[in-house]
Amino acid sequence: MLLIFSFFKTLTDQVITVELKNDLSITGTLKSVDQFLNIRLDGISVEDPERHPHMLAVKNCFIRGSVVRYVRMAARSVDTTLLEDATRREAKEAKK
Amino acid sequence: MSGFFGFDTSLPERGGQRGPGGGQQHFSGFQASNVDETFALGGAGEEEDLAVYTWGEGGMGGGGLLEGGDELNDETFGDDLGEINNNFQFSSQPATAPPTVKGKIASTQSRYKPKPVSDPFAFSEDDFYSSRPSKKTTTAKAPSRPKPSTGQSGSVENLWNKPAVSSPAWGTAPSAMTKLTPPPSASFPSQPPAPGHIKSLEEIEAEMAQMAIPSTSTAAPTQQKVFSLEEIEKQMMEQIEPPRQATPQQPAPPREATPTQVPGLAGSGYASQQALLDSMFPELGKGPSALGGLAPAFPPGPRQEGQSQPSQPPQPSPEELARMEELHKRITSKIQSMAKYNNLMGSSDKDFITRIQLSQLATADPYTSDFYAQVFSALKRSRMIAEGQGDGPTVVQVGAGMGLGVGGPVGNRFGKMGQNTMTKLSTQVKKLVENRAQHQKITNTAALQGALGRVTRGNAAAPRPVLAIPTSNKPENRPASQLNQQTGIHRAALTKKQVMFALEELYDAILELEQMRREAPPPTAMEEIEIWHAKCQAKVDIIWRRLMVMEPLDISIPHPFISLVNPIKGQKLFPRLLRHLPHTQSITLLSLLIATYTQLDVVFRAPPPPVADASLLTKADRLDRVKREAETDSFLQFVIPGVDMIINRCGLGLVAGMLAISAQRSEVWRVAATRPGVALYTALLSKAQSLIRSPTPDPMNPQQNQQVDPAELEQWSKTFTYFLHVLLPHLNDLFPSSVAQKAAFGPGAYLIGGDAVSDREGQEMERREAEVWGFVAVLAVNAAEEDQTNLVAALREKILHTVQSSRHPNVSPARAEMKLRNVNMFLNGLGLDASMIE
Amino acid sequence: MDDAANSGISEPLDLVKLSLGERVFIKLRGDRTVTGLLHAYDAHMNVVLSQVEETIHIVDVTEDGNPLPPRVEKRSLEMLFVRGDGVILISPTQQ
Repeated sequence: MLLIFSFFKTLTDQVITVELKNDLSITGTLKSVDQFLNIRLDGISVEDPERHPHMLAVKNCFIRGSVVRYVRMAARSVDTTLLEDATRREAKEAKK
Repeated sequence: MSGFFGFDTSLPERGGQRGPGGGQQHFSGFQASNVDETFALGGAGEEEDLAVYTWGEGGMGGGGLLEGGDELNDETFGDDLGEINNNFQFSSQPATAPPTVKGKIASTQSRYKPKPVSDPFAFSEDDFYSSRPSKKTTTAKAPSRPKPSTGQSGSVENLWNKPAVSSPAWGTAPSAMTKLTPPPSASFPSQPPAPGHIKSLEEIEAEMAQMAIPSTSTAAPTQQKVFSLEEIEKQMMEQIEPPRQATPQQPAPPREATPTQVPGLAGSGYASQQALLDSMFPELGKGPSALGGLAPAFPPGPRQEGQSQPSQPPQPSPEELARMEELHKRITSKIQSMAKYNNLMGSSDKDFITRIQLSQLATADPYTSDFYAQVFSALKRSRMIAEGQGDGPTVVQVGAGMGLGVGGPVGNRFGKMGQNTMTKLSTQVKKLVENRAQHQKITNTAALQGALGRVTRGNAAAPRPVLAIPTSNKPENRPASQLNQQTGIHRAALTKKQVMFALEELYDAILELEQMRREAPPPTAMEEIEIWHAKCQAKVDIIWRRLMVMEPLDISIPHPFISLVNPIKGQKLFPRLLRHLPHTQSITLLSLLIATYTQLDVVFRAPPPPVADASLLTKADRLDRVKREAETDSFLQFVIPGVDMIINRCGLGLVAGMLAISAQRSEVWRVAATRPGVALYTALLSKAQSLIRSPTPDPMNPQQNQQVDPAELEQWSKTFTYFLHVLLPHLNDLFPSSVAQKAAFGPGAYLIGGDAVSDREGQEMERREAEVWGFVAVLAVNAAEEDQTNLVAALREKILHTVQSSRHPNVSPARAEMKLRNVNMFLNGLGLDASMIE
Repeated sequence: MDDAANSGISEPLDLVKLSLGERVFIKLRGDRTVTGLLHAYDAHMNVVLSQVEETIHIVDVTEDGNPLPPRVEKRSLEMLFVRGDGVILISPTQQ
């Protein structure tokens, strides 16, 4: 059940873009994540700041996992083969 | 829910709470309900004494209760006493009914515990607000107040499932009570409901009304009308009472109800109740702190009164005391009735849950639940160590038998190159070429130079290679089934779903095997090692069977094994498989692969030659090209290295055999026109040549240190000659640039053939060409002298064109250099050099 | 063999597993679809995809409330985590 959590842990200190369900996209450095996939970002910037002026002054933030739609990241920060293996392992664990 | 009392109801703390009470087991079935928890604390602890004290003691004595951030507990507990009472009054148990029935009811103000009255609403609140007869009451009640009848219907599952229903009840309790504050002096013609009878909303209201009757009007069973819903609401809204036991509920677990401020509306559910609560008890927030968490210090009873009803001096009358005793009896009986749930959870069950909870926090085996992060960081470390070596390999080999790919370079129009293997192969070829060049410089140069020289002068007609091999016309996209003669039994090829299923099974098996290999017993434990070996071997056997390599060659088109290697997913599996297969099996596997090479998607549906202008393609066409390129790249990246590895372990006889299989079962010029084909043949030919040239023992394979067997050598040269002659007429068609030019039409023909394509794509094209030049070079070094002449003759136009275009001013220096290098790879193998060509 | 393949599939997620490493089509809430190579999924239908193409179907409405013909916006993303609560369906792409 912790596969995705485990996945996100490997992204800490990487720059990611979190796209929220209200279309706000926040780019920043992933500082931490928990098992609910709540996310803490540092040094953030907002796509389309004119639409979201209230975010201009915010430098870091905590994002509740449930409001996230997507998280975008660089392909090079993911080992896809390993990730697939981990998914298979987890699928098998879940069946036990 | 869990935060209802201001403390976490997770197991450890619960244990703590229960400890003082001494009744740990009693209510374990009710974990989902704080109401029950409450009961457990009070009732379970003292079976005879007043619940009031129990609460206090429980609160004080139970370390768990006083733990950090739990200031509210005490308040809660103090008030709970009242709630309990009222709960019981509302329960439909006949035994508990007496006080209610008797109608000896204090006014709300004077009543010891006014609040509890509202409890009934706890469960039926939704219905209450929506003023429809509540059926919920029945089910919802069950969990928190086990009645003999409903208690059973409200099974444990129910309890688990209904937490949200019961918890808000407590929160709203005060409000309900508030409504009743104006003592309507009326008693109700109420009868204790029959056992097991489920109260309707009206009944509950009636009871409530009764309880609200001032003690003075005790006996008078006025037929006071039951408050209508509207009345109650009105009162509720008007009267705001100081928060008594209104337990500040902690933020509910993620639940997304919008707080509804209008109680009469559909706003059911926790959030709306919470909102209501907040609106009615603005001071609620202060309540807890006012109590200072020192509740235990106050005798719960008085404190409650003082706080909850400051305006009305508490006057516990003797009747009330009597009532209290009565209540206590009922509590006791309730506890007993609830006792049937005792031990519903054995200690092992609790352990199990504890384990689940703990596993969320800590993982003893990081490879189980945190596999990705653990291995990923291990990989990263090893990569960082290897960093100094410049271009890291695209495939990182990790630890004990784990092959874990990391993303390769992102491709351009041509996709990824699988450069690794191709580079390696061409290095191999280069070595052979250099070797050969030294040998032949003197002997052959003249004749070959003559061949090229004639062409350079451009006067004489080139001698056409005369070869006996009849060439069929080349139908486009000829189905794979026609590329093989079929015999024997047949069946349908695997469906895509079957393939995917088989692959997932293989992956699972491989993962298990890899895990086993990691868990090798210490080398000292001989027996264990034997067992371990046996287990691994058994797993390998399973994998071998699942590979379906031993299925008859022509059982289906494509062969089941080929079906497995066709998807990228299967290709990725290939190197990981090989690592575990014994030598003989991998040879078998390779033979099969070569025999059915034409059935591979990457050969049979090889990517079409590039076009100059991609905008001429339809979208579907473009996507199809991309997909095919990706498959080819992946094949070169994942399968070819394995193929090369197996070939490198073969002796000359085997290599010759494999080439013979290929020549026999497929039209080699078609195979060689694909990148996987070029790679395969290059690997075979260069291995053969290196075996012939330097029979020095391969350090990897000491068994082959004998001289090359003349019979094998004979077999090889026969096979090769046949192979070369089949190929010769098609040599030009192997080059992607030639093919592209042929396929091009319209203005594109000028672009693609000429060197006007962008430099980047041009260089990419040269890299592709290099693969083929490497192949023809290794043909050259293997070829006998007369065949070398044929080879040059067949390729002379290509050679000349390439050399000339490298001197063309429009060609970037980088690309020109690549062109020359390509040609020279071939020419050097013949002892020539591009510089000799004018 | 088809039976064998089917008998090994006892729950919906087993089907998703067959698409691991393959291109999948995912329909999401909010008139979105994505396709991409599936690298991870869990019971919540959280997924990780690469080589993603996202398509958003938008119906603009004129000032007087009449819907304009639907238009489509596309994005390409190299690596994407999609939270499971937005997922409506996952299917292999047909190729």
